Amino acid sequence: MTNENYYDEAVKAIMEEIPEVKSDEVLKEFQRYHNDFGIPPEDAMRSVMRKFQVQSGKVVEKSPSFTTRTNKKVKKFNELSANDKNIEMEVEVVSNIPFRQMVRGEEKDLAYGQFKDDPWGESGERESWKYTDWGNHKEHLLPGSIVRIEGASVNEYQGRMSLNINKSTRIIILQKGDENAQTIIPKNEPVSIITATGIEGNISVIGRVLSVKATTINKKDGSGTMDIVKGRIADDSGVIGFVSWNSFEHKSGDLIKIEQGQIRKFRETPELNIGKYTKVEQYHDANFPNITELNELNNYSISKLRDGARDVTITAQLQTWEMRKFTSNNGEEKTVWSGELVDPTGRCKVSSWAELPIIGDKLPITLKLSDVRIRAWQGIPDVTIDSPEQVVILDEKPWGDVEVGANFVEVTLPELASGGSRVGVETTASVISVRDDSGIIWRDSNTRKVIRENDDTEGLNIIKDLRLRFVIDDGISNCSVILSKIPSEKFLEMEFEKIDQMIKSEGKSHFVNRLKTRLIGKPVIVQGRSISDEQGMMFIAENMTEVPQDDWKKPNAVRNKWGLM
Amino acid sequence: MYGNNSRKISKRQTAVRLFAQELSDSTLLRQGSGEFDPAFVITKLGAKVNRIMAAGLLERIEQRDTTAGPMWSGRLRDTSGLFFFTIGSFQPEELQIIAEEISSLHESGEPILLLIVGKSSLRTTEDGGIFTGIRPEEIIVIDKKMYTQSLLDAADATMRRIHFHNDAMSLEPNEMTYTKAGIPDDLREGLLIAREHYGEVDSEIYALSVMRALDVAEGGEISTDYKQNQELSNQSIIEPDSEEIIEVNQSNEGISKIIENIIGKMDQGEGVEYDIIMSNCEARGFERGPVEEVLDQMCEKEILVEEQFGWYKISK
Repeated sequence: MTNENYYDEAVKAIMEEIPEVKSDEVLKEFQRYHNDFGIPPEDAMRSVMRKFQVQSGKVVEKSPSFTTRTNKKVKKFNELSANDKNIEMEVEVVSNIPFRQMVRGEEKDLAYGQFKDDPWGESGERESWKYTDWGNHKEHLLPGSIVRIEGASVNEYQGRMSLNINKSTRIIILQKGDENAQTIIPKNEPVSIITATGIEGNISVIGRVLSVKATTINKKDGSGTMDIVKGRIADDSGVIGFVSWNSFEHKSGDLIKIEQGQIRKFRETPELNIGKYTKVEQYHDANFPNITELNELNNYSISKLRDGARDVTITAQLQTWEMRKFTSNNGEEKTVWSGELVDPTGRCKVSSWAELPIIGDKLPITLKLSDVRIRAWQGIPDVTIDSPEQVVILDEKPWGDVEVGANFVEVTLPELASGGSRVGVETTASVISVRDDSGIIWRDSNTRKVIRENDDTEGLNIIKDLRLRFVIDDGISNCSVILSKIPSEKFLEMEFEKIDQMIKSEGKSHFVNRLKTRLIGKPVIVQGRSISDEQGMMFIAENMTEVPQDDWKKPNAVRNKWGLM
Repeated sequence: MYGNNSRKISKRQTAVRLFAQELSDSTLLRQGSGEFDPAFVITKLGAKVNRIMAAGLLERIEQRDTTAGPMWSGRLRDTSGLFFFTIGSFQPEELQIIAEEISSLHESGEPILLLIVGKSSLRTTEDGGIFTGIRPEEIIVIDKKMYTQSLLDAADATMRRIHFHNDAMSLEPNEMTYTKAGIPDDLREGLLIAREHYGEVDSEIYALSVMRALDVAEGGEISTDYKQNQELSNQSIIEPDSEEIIEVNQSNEGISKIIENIIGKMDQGEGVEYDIIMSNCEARGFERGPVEEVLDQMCEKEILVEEQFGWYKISK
């Protein structure tokens, strides 16, 4: 890095441009960029050039004046003139006819059609204009749709006006058009079960029936009962539960093809619905995995448990077990047993409505639970046992002792984000945002609800609390992180009173800015539990620590990982 | 593909780590049909970029007056090229204050390394010019160690994209095949869209960016050949003549002279590609808008000819 020849070309370039500067000063500046900031001379060239240009009074940089484009917002076509550009208006799509044309030597997908202005019919008089779609927006221009167009321009040809919808035009669907006008995509092509679990809507699958159970449910409107069939089917990619609302003649072990089934989510768990328009038939494939092989897929680990899942088989270590009596809403006295399960992938709760042959002082023991169901409370999965037949106490553990307590299971952020809620986990990612509401907050002491500035606080017992909020992100997934009072104190290495005092004296924004300067971009380790829902993932951290700089990513590690020499 | 789920609330978008070159090579913006659906810049390697984490040396920052109020614009140089960023008057006041502070520090000639987390943007002018950039949400002044870490993050993420991009190119372009082949969730859709839009992409150029970033991260000398490095980092950016710099002015005549000079030097017979002219002009401090305008005028005046779409030659 101290080899001065390395900078020769760069210094020469500056000297040619500004001959009056001293070459050793230029060299020093390049060395400073390189040694202190890691910027090699070719990347520092413009900055160094600018510095010496300004110093020598040679150039005062000014860019050409800049004006932003302004939108012309109109309601009716008759408010437009031939030269109008960047128009914003709401229209109804009357028609959309695709065609192909050579544009500047390239074959392009274009479309033309008719728009009607005043789509909500406020003025009573509506005008139609032709439009040309140069930007392949056909998905957003379904006939019958009402859309807002931002950034269109007027085209005048032989006195006739039309609209140009350009590539940069933004089209926002305000009301979707006639569904029948859409192209119907064939849904008969079977997909794998793992793919099906990620879709909501119509699909076709091929799978082997793992279990079938006829049952009766009460109709929602109270008009009586309904016979349904529930079960599970699997292929080599995964397992999915199904509900048949019609008669279902197939038995466990049968290989079937289901066409036009519908995937709907029950809580967090996708379920295949077999309805009136679904076709179910026997399927023949000698190479399809047998039921024993597929049943293996039905064995869950704690990390894979999802709210709403049924017929789950899981082996886990029971850590605690206690009985609780309570009075139900109808005055009946009930007993429930509950405890904590662990396996190498994490922790979760377990509840039983039946007494099990478990003795508290013999814990931990290993249980194999079959056909149990999963409910979740505050994102924490709870394995629900309904009868003693679902439980087998194993003599041997399928793994060594699972360490619990202070230890957390290390999980990558993408794995956490793609699964359900987890307890006792640890993950690493970089902080990309510190939320402005980090710091002192006020709560209702009874409900623990956070009180905001304009909330009605009459009759509430308000207490002061501390909370830090961040967003962590590893470039593939992200989640928001919440640190309550004790973990915040631990992370800041400061007691609550001192933090309170500090925020009072320097102001909340200063406090937040200091956290930003300290943390943004830096990798941190968080330990605690994750709660996943459709808005994303939240991590309630018991601990948060910065990754020491010595453990940051190394160039060699990246080279080795990708085979770069 | 967009909007295939019925969720009304969009999840927070991940901050993609990439080099400036990958962002600036992108020409495709995808947005769902819902009013609040996020917009994504789709890169040639298939990254779906809504949010970005970028780091580099602050090369320029300045305030401009626009009809929408004052706006800050700046550019950040990483080992592969330039990120452009803008802070509009509609963005939090805190960012304006940071921009002001950074600007005065920059005026003093002090080198500043910045880390920006922000939203990606891509806009297309009516005549086809494409501008990519970042609208910052967070701006932090960082040190060399953090900059190195950011380069390594971007290098790692870029190699991951190259790896799966290359894998995907040998597969049937559909969701199911990609899933079965183990293409990760976060890349599948972007890779399919990128393949449809960009066709076959040579990922080697991005691998070179990675190698260069790794060299810089290791603090070693990249090469003693300055010109060779310039070529590597800026693809085909030619060094400006010294008289060109001295006489730099932003008038149309000035730009026209530069364009002629660039084409004159680089034309190997087929003309010079639009992107190369743009990046060369940008490297000389010109904005794309005026350059595009001049380019069009030169074609109209028949100083230049566009015999092949996007390739410019000097008229004989």
